[in-house]
Amino acid sequence: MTRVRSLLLIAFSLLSFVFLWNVSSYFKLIPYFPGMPSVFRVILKNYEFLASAAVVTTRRAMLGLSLGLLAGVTGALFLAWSSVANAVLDPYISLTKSTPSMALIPVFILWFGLVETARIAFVAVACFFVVFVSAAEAIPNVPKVYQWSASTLGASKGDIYRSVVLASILPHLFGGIRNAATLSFAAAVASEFIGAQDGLGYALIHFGINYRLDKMIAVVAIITLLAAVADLTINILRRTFLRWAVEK
Amino acid sequence: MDEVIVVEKVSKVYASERGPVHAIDRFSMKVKEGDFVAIVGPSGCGKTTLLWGLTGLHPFNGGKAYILGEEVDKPRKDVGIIFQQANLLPWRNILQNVLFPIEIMKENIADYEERVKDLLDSVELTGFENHYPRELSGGMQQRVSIVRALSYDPKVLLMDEPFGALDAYTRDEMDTLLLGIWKKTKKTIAFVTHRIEEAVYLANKVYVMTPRPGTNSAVFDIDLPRPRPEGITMEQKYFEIVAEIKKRIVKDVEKQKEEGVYQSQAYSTVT
Repeated sequence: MTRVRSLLLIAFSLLSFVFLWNVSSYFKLIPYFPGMPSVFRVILKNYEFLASAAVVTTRRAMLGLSLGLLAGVTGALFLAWSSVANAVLDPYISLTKSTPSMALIPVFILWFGLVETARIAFVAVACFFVVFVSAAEAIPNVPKVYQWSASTLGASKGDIYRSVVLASILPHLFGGIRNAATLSFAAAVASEFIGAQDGLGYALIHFGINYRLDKMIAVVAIITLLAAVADLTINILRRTFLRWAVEK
Repeated sequence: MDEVIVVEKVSKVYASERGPVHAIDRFSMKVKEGDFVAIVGPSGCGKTTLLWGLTGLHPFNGGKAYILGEEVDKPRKDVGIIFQQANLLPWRNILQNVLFPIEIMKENIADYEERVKDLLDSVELTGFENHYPRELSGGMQQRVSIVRALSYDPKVLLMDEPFGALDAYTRDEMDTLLLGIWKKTKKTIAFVTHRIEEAVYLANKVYVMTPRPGTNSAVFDIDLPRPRPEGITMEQKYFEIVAEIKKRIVKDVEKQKEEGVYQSQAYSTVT
């Protein structure tokens, strides 16, 4: 497909989206569904409230993400080194892959109480698992041939770990970090559904009680935008530091 | 030190999913210093297993193998190995890849940079130092792997069908390139291939292995002029030697079939 053609298709897709959105709003095809102009109006009118809520949620997401990445990457590095740890943790990793992290929110609230710590800890744990599992899945797939060709040169286990294993799992680890970055916002918002007094999640619940779908859609749009920025940032980092792994 | 590689009645049985595989049976071979020896045989006959045994990574079960007078029991710094796949590390650029052995051997990289650049030049890869492997063709990648094997100046080169994955034209080019490198560096080379034409073109001596379990079938001294004249592969004499070796292999297979011991090559060796 030529470049022009694909650009045209993208433009067509975006225009159709805007069209369908506003048509379904105008003809009330979806109940309470606001048109795009009213969503923009809501954002402009509640600018200060939404901005402060976004800051609160972003702070929770980023703090949780940092902690989760720290633990996840450390855990991944250890897992890559120790075949014993791999064997011991394997069944749990397989299990946690299918655990929906959102199900843990009430549990965290019970453990920590309705405090900031509970929300950040929840985001951290959700991010940790995403990163850790992505590494755990990459480790068995490190190509044996690279390890052999290093071994034929007399490489020690430490040499192979540093020069072959770590580099091979890095792209997958970055993939996990990228998923964790987007997830951190979802997790932070979800954690605010229960007992929070601020943040975008609280705003969603609050607007929902008042049947303000226009404001709710505005909040969802802001969350999407924040997660997209996080995703883009990680992707730029990946392109900068992992040039060898980026497709042409 | 006249004989650089000495293989004395080595045997290898390894475990596979379908039970033990008797890959090599009392195979012997000698390679003189600076010699170029090829090992041929039907696929699955244990040629690759033999080479892996010589790397010291997958030791033989029986018999002994010596390189430069020392028994082979672990990887050695005076042996360079080139596999069928280039196996370049995708996260390192070409220069970093060819310097990889130096790093692993904890030598001073600066001492080798000049040498490595000369080697890259001799395989016409100057200017590609900062490229990543995926940006290079298969033939170029294999040239890089040759430079990598030569980077630390080993005395011995073990090559396992190094050009087997390349297209026919590139393969012929690589054979000629290899002869040039051999002439210049005077390495002792043991070269495994299933292509008789390639073995005859390259080597001074061709060892023929029987079908599995691989054992000595015959040794052919290749009486062709050095350096190989252009068009040698079109000449009567060359064809005669190739035909003679092929006949030998066919005869080995026929003999095993008559005895009912021939195993079709259902599985590969070291993977």
